[in-house]
Amino acid sequence: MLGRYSEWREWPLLGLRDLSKQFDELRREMDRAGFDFDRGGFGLGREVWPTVSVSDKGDAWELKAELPGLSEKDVELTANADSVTLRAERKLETPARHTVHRRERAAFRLARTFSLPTKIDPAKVEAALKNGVLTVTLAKVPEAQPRQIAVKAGS
Amino acid sequence: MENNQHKNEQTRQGNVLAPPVDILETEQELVLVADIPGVEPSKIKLDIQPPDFKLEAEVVGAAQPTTYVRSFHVEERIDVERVNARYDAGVLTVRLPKSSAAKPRRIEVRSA
Repeated sequence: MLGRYSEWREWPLLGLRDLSKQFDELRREMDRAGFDFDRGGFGLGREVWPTVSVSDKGDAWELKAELPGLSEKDVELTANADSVTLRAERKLETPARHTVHRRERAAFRLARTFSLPTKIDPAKVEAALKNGVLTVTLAKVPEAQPRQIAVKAGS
Repeated sequence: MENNQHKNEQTRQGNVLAPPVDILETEQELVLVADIPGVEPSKIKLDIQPPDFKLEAEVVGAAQPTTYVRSFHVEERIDVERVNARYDAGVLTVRLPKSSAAKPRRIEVRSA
């Protein structure tokens, strides 16, 4: 985050050098306080869903996405030999005769494609949605699975 | 309901997340809706002692210990006995019925 402003330090004009240092200080302070520069607001944690993570489980890749409030029919998954695309939409409606005092939860529509570092078998993709968390297991093709190599003692 | 964020500041292990919350009101009740995906319903702790309202829930299976924490001030008089909560698809909905004293009452004006 700070890197974006680092070129200011090279600015030859009088005084700007110090100013940029102060700005960096301020920025660091605000980062600490939770200000999100990219969204332009103080975040109360994670406001924009969903958070997605991809991890290596050895013989498979595991994609996890937080999709609170969604059911199976709101989620669409497509898998290719080396990528997976997740589409999801959340609508929010205020029930009739309700006054809104606070609205932090957001509606979202998402379409994200994740390129995978190895080939996978699109026929062996499993997905489950539980407690608002989508877990997708993408089995790697046999060639991409890790292989244990026995180390022999040299002569 | 007033945000009461500063009361969350205490030392804790792992990640502490402030989940996004909606607060709605009808004539009968306050409704609090929170996005807290990935927790077990039995691991959700709701502590309501008006005017304090505290929500705490631990995420199951996170890479590092993660807890959702939010607290609020409940301004309306709440019938604590009748508070109910439901957790569905990662969304917690807490209904806080107003005690009869806090409900608006229509008073009929009669002509003499």
